[in-house]
Amino acid sequence: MKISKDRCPEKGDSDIDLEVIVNDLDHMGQLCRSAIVPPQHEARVVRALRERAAERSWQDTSRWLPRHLFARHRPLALAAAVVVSLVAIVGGAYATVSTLSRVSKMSGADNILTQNLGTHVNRSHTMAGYTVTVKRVYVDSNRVLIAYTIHPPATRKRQWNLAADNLKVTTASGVALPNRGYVNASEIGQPDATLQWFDAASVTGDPKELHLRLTVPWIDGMEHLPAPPTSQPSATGGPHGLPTSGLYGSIATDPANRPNGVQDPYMHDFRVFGPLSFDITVPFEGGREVDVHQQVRAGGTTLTLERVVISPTETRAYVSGFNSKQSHSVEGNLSGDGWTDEDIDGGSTGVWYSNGMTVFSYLGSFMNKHGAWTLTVKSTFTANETPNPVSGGPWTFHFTVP
Amino acid sequence: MREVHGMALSIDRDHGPDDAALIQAVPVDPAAFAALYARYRDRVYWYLRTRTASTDDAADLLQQVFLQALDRIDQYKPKQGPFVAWLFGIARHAASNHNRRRRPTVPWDLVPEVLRPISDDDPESQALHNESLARLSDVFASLDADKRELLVLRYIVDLSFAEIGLTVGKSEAAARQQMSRLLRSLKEQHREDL
Repeated sequence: MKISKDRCPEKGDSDIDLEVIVNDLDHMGQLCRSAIVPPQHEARVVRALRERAAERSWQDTSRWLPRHLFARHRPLALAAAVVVSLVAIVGGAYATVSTLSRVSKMSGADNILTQNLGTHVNRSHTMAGYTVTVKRVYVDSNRVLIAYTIHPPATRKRQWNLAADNLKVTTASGVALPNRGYVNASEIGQPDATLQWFDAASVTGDPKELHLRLTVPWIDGMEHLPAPPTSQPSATGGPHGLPTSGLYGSIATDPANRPNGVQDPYMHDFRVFGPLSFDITVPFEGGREVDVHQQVRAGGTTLTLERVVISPTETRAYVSGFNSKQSHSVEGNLSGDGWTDEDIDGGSTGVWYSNGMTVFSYLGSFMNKHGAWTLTVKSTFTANETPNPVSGGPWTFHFTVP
Repeated sequence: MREVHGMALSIDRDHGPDDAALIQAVPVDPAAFAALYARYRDRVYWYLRTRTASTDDAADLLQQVFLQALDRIDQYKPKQGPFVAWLFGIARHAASNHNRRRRPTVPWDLVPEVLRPISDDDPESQALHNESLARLSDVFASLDADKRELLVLRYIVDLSFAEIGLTVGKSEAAARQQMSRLLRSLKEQHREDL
């Protein structure tokens, strides 16, 4: 690695004492740079990165769930979707775990299976040979979870990442619930499974049950091509080249064929047009809401933690005071006595802006966390008049969850 | 079970594609992230080693930092600064959170014992080496964490002042000025010690 020669900010300074100090610092730097990551740790880190890379499949960057970012040009709640394509990671331990179990765990909702929450639906519709089966639906104060599988027709082609990309959920009163994310698992020998979740914050009145309509406009998937593509592959994948409308049962393919590594050297995206609909009634699990209304001021900005909503599969903190017109990233860390939001197995966090609130979301169950909680919010923003990002906060809120 | 193509690590860090090209390739080619890892692994590790009490902790944080970088790679925007500054921002947070969780204070040992070489150098060189380290140890003991970090980022990790500024949330000019003042202060202290 080349080392910069610029060691003294005050160039040209021939002060002997300064030279001694700088030489000492250079010497220290050389000494520290002789260290290497111990081999046993290096192997572990590489394996972890390989597994994480294997879990993620980037077909469309707009599907990424931005963990801490919302941009100026997207002030509304982000229709964030995480596509996590689970392919083979390590050996036999995963062979007996169903794709449905995996997507539940990956979305911090393992407990809907382990505690048998929600409604077993097991209803199927088939179009163009593709069978969509809604396996389970679950609703609490924060989110609606839809678990479904897709079974392709028996063909010689290998297909994967089958998902109802544009699944919509509406209530009996016609309110469309915002899409908040999904995880998808694909494994040879099992139907592709997807767990998708929608925002349930608009559901009010603590009903006993909800009547929902699930609409599948189309199914998207990827397909292995046995022969080299006739067109040049796109270096970066490019935007989706699939149409957004088509006759029921018709199948469109994306002409932008892409190389996909050793296993599937050639592949393309395809889309099977529906629509399909499912009408489902599911009990409302509810949750707990803690009104906080605490103000904290830091760096000239006052934020108010308005409330925290804790449900069996997600916890949300609603904070007011950020200026949505500024482009910045925010981070909120949740913790309590002996735990942090990072402790939740399979959990993940997200943040979005909605109706004047910055919403910090933590997937997973915090239902058994009582007592003193702490929310620490930090931000980095670029105000219009300054070229460099500025750190804001932290704003630390202490409150009690009964 | 579907196999995953592995990550190639034998990347020439000095002559390979630039960071922007690798980052752009990551969504379709996970091996591109392997190249970024190989490029910055050592520098991040050196930094983390000065912020932790053991190689185990430093390696744990190294994994955490790069996993977070991989998870958040789509959030990196080139217009906000170079990738290395973004990456070290993650490393700083990780180290700070680690220290807050694990221990009330973690001493900054810029040259941890394990890194001090057992050298076959001649006695005179070894003496000069030890003298140099002793000078630095005395000096660093008197510095606060921000100043020590500035020295680490500059003299160990070899970030430019612009990159340091972006990493710690200052302007380049402010980082440069702070270093200038710090070196003058160290110089004065060195004179007093003589």
